[in-house]
Amino acid sequence: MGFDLTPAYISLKVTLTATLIIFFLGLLIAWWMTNYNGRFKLVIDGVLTLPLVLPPTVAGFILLVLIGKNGPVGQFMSLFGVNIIFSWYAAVIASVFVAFPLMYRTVMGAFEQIDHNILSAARTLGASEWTVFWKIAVPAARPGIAAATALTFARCLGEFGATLMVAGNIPGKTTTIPLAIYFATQSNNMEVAVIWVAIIMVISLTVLIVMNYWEAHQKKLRKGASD
Amino acid sequence: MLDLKIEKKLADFNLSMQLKTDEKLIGILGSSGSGKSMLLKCIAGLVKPDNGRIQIDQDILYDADQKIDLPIRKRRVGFLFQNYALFPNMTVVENICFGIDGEKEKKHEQAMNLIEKYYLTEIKDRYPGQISGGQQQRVALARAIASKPEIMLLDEPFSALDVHLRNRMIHEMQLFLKDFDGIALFVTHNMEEAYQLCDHIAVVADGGIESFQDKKELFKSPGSVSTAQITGCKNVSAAKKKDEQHVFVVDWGVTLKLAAKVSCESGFVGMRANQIKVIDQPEGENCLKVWMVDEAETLFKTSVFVRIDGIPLKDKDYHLHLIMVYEERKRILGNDFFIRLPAESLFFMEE
Repeated sequence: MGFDLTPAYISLKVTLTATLIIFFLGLLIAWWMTNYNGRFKLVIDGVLTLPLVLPPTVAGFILLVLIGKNGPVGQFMSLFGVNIIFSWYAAVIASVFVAFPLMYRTVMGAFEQIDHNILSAARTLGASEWTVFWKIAVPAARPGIAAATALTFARCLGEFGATLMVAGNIPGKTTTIPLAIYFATQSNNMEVAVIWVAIIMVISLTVLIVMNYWEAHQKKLRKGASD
Repeated sequence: MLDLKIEKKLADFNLSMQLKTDEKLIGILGSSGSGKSMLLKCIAGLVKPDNGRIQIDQDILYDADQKIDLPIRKRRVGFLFQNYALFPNMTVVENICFGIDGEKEKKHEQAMNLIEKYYLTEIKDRYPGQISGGQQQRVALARAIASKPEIMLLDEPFSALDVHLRNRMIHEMQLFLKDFDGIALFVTHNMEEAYQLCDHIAVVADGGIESFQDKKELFKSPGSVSTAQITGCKNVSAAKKKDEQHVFVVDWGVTLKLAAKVSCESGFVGMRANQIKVIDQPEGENCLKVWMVDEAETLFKTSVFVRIDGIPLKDKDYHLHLIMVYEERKRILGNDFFIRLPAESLFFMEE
């Protein structure tokens, strides 16, 4: 029996794309929210965090309504001849939707921990707001950002429920590793399931451990010697 | 020239400050929570006042009436933070380069000049976490000066340093300020630091500027009770005028002579703890017999607390606080002794 490797390829493609999108979106929105002190702060924060606590089926349902053939986004995209639903784009959107709050929350926590004087110092030295964000805030919050990225990556890789609802299980097209495990188990194909379970555990664990080592190494670079 | 008028409602008090001066080096002395740091933040643009005007030489940084509010990055202020606020992810050179405009090579050249000037050559490639507090302060100064500020705002720069380092850094700061040709505001709660570094001192209390004057004048005759206390005066009492040069001191129950003329009917008198003299025999004016109630020794000096009307039976309430060196302390033999409050050291304050 030939072992079909396409789920691994699709999973990596979807996960990397989604993580990349979440990374920049999460940084920008977290920074904006850190500096925003308007009256709707708590409401906006609630909305942005919501997908984290929703059941996957609810997240999937909402996305289905939005990006389905008759949904506003789906109809708009069909003008350009692009069909999102049941494509790997849909899998990316599902991952972004579900994993975004993880990035946003963790990064905002890291931004809030930054010594405010550092940001003020940069501004008095003539830095623009963009420079303050990109050159000062992001590097200062780097441990938190790195942790958030690792978590996001792992969460995207493991995304199942919402993906199933909007991207379906089309072998060679939208079947990711978690979906492959589910359907292999359903059809009593236990050997295939075990292999995928092992692979996904190795990838997730590797990413988390590498991130830990990288962070420890960075810390040592900046402190080390004198202490 | 510095010309400012700031009004701002804060959670626990109202900030209302006005200062206009041609002086270059100004000490801002006040206890914590008096609003002195807030003043610096308003000048830098980190906090927006509710009302007022801030002008430095020809540049208007803020004017509520004209709706001018320059963004922080255009104000050309150098801010030295209490914790120095160095960028932890940048080396010393990179920190200094941050505030310099221009091409990369020019930036680097200017930064290297400053690095040499501030004795940072050996640590130029280290990160802030790898250098000492004194070095951090030097980097922060070099970084601030690199951006060519018109005004330097120094926010309690020595409070994070160990004592032995503090004296050296105060000396370095003196050299730095001598070299700097803009305006410098030095905020501190420590009167000795203010006295050492600045010739003119503004005393801040309850969100306002109580007085602004030459430091020698300020310490000799503080205009108000709160100024007296902030400048370290330990003995203050309500007083009533008797004649041109004599007052009855209410709390101490004695009449004393002042060198200066008494300006109004009732007010307060102040006497610095280190200017009270221990004497062997009561001769001349302002001599008092006192009883010691308590003593607190420090390394080089001792604080003696005395009462004027005899030893209290129960409490340890005292009338006067004396500070003297141990040599002087030897002159006190028994429990009771004589002191003199020199007329020229006693000052009168209006209510």
